[in-house]
Amino acid sequence: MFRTRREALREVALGFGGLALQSMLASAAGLTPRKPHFAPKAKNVIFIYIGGGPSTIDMFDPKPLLRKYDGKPAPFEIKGRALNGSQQIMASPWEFTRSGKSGREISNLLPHFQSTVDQVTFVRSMQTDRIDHSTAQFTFVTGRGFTGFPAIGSWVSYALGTENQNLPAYIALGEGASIGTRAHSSAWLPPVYSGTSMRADAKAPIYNIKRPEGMSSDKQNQLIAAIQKLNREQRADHPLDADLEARIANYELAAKMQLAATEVADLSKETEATRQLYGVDAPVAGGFGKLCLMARRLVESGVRFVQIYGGGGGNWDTHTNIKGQLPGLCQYIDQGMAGLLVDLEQRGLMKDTLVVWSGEFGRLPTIEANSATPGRDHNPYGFGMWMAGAGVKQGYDFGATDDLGYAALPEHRVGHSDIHATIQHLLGIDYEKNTFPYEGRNESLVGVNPARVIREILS
Amino acid sequence: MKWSWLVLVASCALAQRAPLFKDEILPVLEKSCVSCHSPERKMGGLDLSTFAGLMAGGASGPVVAPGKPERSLLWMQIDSGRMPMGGKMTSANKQLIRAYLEHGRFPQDQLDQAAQAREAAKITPEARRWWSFVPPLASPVPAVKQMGLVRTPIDAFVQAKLEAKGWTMQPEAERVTLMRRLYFDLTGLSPTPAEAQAFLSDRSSGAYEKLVDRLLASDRYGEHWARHWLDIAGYSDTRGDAGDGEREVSYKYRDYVIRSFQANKPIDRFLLEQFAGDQLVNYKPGTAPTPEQIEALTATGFLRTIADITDNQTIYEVDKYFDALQKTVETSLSSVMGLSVGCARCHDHKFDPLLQRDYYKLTAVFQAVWDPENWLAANLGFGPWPSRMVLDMPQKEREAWIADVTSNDAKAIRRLEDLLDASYQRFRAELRMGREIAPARRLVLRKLIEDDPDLEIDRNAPKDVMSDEEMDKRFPELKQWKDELFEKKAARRKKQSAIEPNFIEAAWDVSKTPSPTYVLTRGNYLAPGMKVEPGLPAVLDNPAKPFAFPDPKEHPEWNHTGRRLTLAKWLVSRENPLTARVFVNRVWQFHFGEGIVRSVDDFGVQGDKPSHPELLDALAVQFQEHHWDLKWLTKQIVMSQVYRQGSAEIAEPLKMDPSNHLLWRKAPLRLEAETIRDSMLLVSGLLDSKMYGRQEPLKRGADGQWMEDDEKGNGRRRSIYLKQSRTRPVAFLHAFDSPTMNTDHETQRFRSALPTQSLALLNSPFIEKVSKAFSSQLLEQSGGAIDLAVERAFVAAYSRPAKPGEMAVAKEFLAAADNPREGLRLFVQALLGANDFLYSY
Repeated sequence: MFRTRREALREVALGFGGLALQSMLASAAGLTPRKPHFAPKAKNVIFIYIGGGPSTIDMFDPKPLLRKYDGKPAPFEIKGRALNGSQQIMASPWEFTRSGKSGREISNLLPHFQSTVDQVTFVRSMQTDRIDHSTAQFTFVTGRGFTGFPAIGSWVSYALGTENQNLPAYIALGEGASIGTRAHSSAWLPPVYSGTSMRADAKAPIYNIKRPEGMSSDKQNQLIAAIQKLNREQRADHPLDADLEARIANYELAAKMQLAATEVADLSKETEATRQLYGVDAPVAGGFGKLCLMARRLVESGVRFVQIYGGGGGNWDTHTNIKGQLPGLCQYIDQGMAGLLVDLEQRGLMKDTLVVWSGEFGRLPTIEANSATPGRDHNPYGFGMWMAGAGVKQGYDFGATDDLGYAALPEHRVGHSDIHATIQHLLGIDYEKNTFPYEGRNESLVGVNPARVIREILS
Repeated sequence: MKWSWLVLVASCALAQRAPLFKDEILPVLEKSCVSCHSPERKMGGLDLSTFAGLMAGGASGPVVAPGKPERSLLWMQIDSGRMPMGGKMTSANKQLIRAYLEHGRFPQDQLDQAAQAREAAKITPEARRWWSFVPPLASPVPAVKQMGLVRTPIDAFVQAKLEAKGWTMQPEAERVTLMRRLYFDLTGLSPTPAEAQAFLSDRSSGAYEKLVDRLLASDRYGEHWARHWLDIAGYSDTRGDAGDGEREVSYKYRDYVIRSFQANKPIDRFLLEQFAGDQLVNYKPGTAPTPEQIEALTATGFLRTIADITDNQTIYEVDKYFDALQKTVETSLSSVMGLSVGCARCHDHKFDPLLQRDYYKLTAVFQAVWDPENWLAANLGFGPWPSRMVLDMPQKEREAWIADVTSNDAKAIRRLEDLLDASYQRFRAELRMGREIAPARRLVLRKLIEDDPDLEIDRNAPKDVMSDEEMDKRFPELKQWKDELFEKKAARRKKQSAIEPNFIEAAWDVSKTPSPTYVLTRGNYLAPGMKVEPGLPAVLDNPAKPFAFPDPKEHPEWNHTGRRLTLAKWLVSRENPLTARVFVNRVWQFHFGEGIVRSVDDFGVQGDKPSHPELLDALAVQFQEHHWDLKWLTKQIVMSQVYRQGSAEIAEPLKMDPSNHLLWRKAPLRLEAETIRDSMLLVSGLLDSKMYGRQEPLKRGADGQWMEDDEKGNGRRRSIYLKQSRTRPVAFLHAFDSPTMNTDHETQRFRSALPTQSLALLNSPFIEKVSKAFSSQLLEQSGGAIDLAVERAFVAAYSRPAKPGEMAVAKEFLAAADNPREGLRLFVQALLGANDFLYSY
């Protein structure tokens, strides 16, 4: 029997899910930690989402054969979009360096990443069925090419709840998905599972966290105390009402959340060495470095799912002048993401944290015509992404595209639903059982898409 | 390597002729498929042991698309490697099947017959007898023991069930509680102290009924009930495309809804107008509407609410067209029919007797509005004229205006506007990264923007880092581009007379002969199956005499297909067992928090059964007999003892029926987001009760939250007039579960209790604004006397004097404050953040 939507609504509205009244205070937010379906490999996820379509063949998936055809027509037909398509191959304008013990070649645009590459498993045979940004982004984050479905972080927090009741379970950092906040929306899952936008600003990291001007902490405590006293007076007629009780608990939680969120966003508490590791004060890399450092602080505090957008450094959608644009974009994310991997490892957080890096698609090996400074068009047929951390092999390569980096080779072809299945699997969630009743259907993140756990990459 | 050559040769030979089913195909199927797809096991409902079985298809519909292997489920499953499950099929056998699908003989009538036989088997007489598919019948009012509690027939139905348990309804709630409940439910606002005083001091026996009549007649009633309907319709002021662009004139539909509730338009008429207003008035596309056509056209905004992610790209749009069409079908019909028709988009409904073919028969009804082969652009920014806007202008001005907006001049200006917006965004991105942006780089950036073939512009991008003005100073290039744009605009304005276009975003049939509708295999538009004509779901149709849609060719005077009007008339006819029940149930839910059928959108097999089926039917029948008069229905409900009873917790029923199925009390409810915000404005004296008109703009607050923009607009108006955005909702409302319509519509609000709500009540700019205004108003009214102000504060916020315990809290709080005025301000904030303000008991 499915629970009806109404039952689920009610359960979550009250947040108690059948718990006794005594444990209400802890669970009032509806996010009590819940048992996974089986023993998890990972407890938290940091999902670095590079909206716009990063050119993975110029970053970590080099294709030496492109040199041979550079400036010449491709040896087989490259189907791009009809816009400014061409068949003219462009080799990567950048050098690659064999890096780490695993000896994978990483572009010199990512010098910091080169030094941490041994931690990473590359999935080099991604494919998606969407070729334009909005539908591909919806697909990558929600499993469907259209608006109106919950994001992966919502599904994960719905399944597992969260450890720290003083912070939201699902937090989104930065900007850069062209579908906006829908990339971390809970859609029809209860609102408590929606991604909360957070900023790396200790003064106002979350909406309404900052006390208004002139409101001292003491004054606010008095205000809360007064509300609580009024609430207790007013509850006399309905002493058993769980909803009214929850609201009392919520003022206490709100006060704690204020402290916790401000604290976690306060990067000045970090040592100089750590700040340098992430490049927090560097002119270009600083913005993203701050977000990555925040992400670490968040998972350290028990936040279940952190989504970082990589769009703050400009537009990854490099249709034109990729030569001029990509270095800056890479510089923006390189130090932060590499610092994150190093830092998580050093602090022993890597054993519980899964880091996932991907865009909604990659870019073609050909140039887009009609520009003196050419770029590359969208490539949904074959692109790369990576994962690192809890439950994932180190220094492993899964799958490949053809020698020109155009299409994923069929035997290892994987897509967004396989990634969704794998992430959930690592968290101990059976992706087929993590369902929610919606409009008469038992919906899940994967839905009716074919999906499999990519067992080859599991450690 | 060698063998694959052979396969290739073999398949080349095969490509020339059709393999024979019995001699060549059946052996392959028997080898690889029949162990599971046998007449006995029939996995997935599919039997592949005979030709008839192959033709009949399985649970996912037909498996053969004659001549089109790539659209045949049989081939798709084999080709993708999903089938045979756990086994492998040789390449030669695969090619054989492919060739068979491509060249084999599959008589269409045999396919159709097989499909229809399969369907008929699903629509059993038993399925037709499902409670909600049988027209409602009024049954006699039951007798009860405690007649003293029965004010209306509604009460008898409820009391009878309670008495069977040995329970009873509660006595009437306290007058203050009842009054507030009625205000919240009918107007979405708390009463003013004067209104409360007027009612509480009226001790006559008809006082309550007088109040009911007065509130039903008030403007506030129309606004509040419009909000309910807008939830059901999925109304939003943004489009839901990539940048979530604004729907500039959507407010006209919102105003139409308010006016309709205000005027108590019969609900059957209300539904007819929304589903088919254009056809009701026989609007001719491309002409200027007559004044009487305008209202009907505005009503069809109902069919334009869906999130539409078609954008300015010229390709890869087709599936988005289908998505918009299908979502419109699903949302509009589930709103009135209470069935999750969407489940049948890809296959026959798993639980309800709804066929996939039913889904596409209903889709055909709407095909002429959202015709994927004859698409209308969402608005001017997204493509050439015509768009979904009806131009409400005299013919001559119309022509001039169209010529003007389609001119190259106009296009060039729109382009420059885009480039300028994108330039600010791009420069900000650089600044955010701490870059200087040297003069040469500025030109490079501009060039990049100009060259971007799918430039996406976020019109609401944050203006952080630096203001526009400062940027203009720092980067003269920006200023120069802006000036160029202004000059061009000014020059153009000089050239043409100032024609202000007047739009209505409406739905109409793009042609009398829309593209055909096909059953889409697995919902995939690339795999069309059987062609269907408009029709009713089989389970609701008469098999002996199927419902017929008119042929528009026989009506040369029509400017439309007549399909939607025909469907809409059926929806509100006595033959339809669902519409009145579903509507009455929704109205009930808006008063009690839960419907008589708790699954308000699902009256099917998976849904909840009605707690009081005879009551639901009696109300549905009477509602129709009273000409779908909503105010009549509402009055029936609010005059009943069921509605007027108290909300006390009584031990036994609380234990046995904690969620109040039997209505042994009126359950306390947290107020909806808009009611909370609007009531706060009201008690603090800030509320501006101006009605109708353009959406009030929003701005980003200091911490990034979206909020009322008091400079550019009027943030003191009721929430229904604020811009309703899918991606940038007003943070204060959103905290209290106002919908964003990212799901297609929201027929039942969440009533969550989350710490983020407490944060909004403690720290939001809105609560600061209202508590300041509230306390200064109190001080003014009390001549500066704090004690008096506190007393008045309780009356204003709760419509009652303070209880002794509450007064003690107030005294203690104010005594501890170093500044009495500041103390008062904080104390009134506490009053607004406490449960008695947020709940209706």
